Amino acid sequence: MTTDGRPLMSAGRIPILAPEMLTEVIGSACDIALLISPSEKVDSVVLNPQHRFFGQLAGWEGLPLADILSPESVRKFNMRRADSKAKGVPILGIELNHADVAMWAHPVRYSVHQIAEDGTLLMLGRDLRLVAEVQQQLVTAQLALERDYEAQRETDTRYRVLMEVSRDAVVLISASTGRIVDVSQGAANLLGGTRGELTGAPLAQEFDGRRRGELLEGLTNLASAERKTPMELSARRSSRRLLVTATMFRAAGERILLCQLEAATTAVARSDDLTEGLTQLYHEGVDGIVFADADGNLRAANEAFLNLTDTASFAAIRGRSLADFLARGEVDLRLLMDNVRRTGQLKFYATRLNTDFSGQVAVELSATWLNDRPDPVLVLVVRDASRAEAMRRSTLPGQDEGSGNVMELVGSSPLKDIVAETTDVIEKMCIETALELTRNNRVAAADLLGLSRQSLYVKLRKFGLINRDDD
Amino acid sequence: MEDMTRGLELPTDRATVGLSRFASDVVELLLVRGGARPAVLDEALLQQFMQVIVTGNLADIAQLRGEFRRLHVTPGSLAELYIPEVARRFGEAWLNDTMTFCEVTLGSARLQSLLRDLTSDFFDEEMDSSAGGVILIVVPDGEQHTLGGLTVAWQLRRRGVSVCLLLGPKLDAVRTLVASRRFNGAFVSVGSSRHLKDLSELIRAMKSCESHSLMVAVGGSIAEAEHDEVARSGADIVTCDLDEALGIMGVDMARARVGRF
Repeated sequence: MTTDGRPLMSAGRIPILAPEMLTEVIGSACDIALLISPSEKVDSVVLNPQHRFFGQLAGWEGLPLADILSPESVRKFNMRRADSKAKGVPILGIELNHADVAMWAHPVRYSVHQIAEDGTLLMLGRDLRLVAEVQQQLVTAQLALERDYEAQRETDTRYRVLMEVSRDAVVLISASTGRIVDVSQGAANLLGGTRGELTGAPLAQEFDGRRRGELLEGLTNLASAERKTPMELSARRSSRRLLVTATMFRAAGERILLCQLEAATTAVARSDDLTEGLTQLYHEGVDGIVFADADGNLRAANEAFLNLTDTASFAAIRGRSLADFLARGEVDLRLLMDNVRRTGQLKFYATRLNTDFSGQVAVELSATWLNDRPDPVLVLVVRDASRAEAMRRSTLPGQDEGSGNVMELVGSSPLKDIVAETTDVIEKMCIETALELTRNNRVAAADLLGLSRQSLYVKLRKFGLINRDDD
Repeated sequence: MEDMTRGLELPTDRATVGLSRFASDVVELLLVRGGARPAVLDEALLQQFMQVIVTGNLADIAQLRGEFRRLHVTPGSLAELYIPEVARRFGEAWLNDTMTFCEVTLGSARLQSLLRDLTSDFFDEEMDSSAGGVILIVVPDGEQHTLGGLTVAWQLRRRGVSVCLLLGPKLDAVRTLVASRRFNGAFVSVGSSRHLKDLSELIRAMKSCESHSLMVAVGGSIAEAEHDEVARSGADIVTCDLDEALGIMGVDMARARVGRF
């Protein structure tokens, strides 16, 4: 066709070409031309004399077309050819991959024209090997990248497990921003937060009475000092005294301080000042302090505890069981004792205290088991939790996250389904927690949940927490 | 009277705070459960997604994310459903010559990079050594596209299976690896019949360890197109059905789990 759509030959502008001339024209107009016989064998191969990529392809002549194409390309060619025949139109663009014994597979973009009634085809091709080589480089680069990612994944996993499981207290801090880059579980325990809360937080914020610049400078000096005398700091969240040593290293252009933490308990000197201070704290402190024996019977309680329980004097309650003051009675006491005997301490145990006038007050208990003596002692610090919670309310962590989750949930199911499912989840969580707290004692768990034993068993079965024959 | 006020008000404050936190936990749990529900492809969204991948304007992906969220398409569904489907349609488009092999290669590379972004933070399977099994995945040397192998790796990891992924390894490296580690089974992802003749040799290398026989499954587009020939290569299983292959290998799927993703 000419540019204005008229057939070129009928205009008589191009005379009928001699076979040699036609071959030359075809050879120059494309990179490779194949003449395919009606039996789909390669009749002739014409190569562009200016294009040397293909070398000598005379060996293709006489071969079935299928033998010089990759199997995928044979399938593709047959499919497109059938479609072209049915519609009576030429195939103006088809990418095929050649493959034979001598040459590596390479792609050619052909246009396919039926030039005789008997089905003889002329295929005019453009070599795509230059593009294919660039593509190959991309594939190779991508493979290398993926191998690196996989190797990195393995290293990352080891690092993550190490930080998660190791008891060593290690904190990585960016020397330029002063923020915590990562923190091991051991360090999180000492600092009194979770790894999620601490990562990204400014280090200075985690210690009392330290400004950012001052703290970083101190740690940097400590890292470069020959004799590393640990720096003693007081953790804000856990109120623990910690000994900190630091090492500096560089990673990807950033200076990182590796800080190792250690509890400073051994460093606390016993002195008359301390004894005096502790005694004063016992008598005048705002939190209740209670000493009890191994059976949970009261040995001593301070003024703050007496105020919380509306008790007139300690003489009135001496020797009484702690269970009398705990809202869940024996269940609370057993949980406290079991946990402190197992781990030595229990933090932020939330419960209620019974007062002498049949009232109740919400409290948080921290329990410590002093076992280094023939007659072990349970020490409780009792904090009026309602006041603390009222202060925390304005800055509730996780509230934004919670509402984000709700936004995702709304619309996924009808409200009544969400509520029904929520009830199930809450029931299951409560039962699992009760079983964990009571160390799988189902009688105590039922008691804790305010359920009959039978009801608990029904729910255990419902949630698959028990086998039918496991009664 | 003052005492009664204290007794009524303060515990209520505390209860509100506690319940609010508790409800957040519950919602989180429900979302985890939601992740386990079978997701379905949204054709209009798929077309949009495909268009963004073809044009290569990854900034549009950020815009699409909002749409994905609105239709409750999690990153997990994107990786497990949408990315493989777009890859399959790219293959079809090459067959119909509506996309050139260059466009298909670039599109696949973009899908692969997106898959990597979506799954790079997913480490759950590694932290629970009791879940699932240990599987070797091999993408043979010379394969042009690794997206299939990577997608299978992700799908297995999501099921709690620990995966060792070998991309274009030499046969010696394969022999050394199978001799030194104990896998529950192995997958080979083959996309082109050009590599069929090398497949037998690869499978022989994978089964070279004398102390234990490694069960090998072959998948990829070749598993459908050249099923009989692949079966003659020495593979124990020829399938594109991951769960079927895991079942035959005896990987404990009862322990596998689907995390929130």
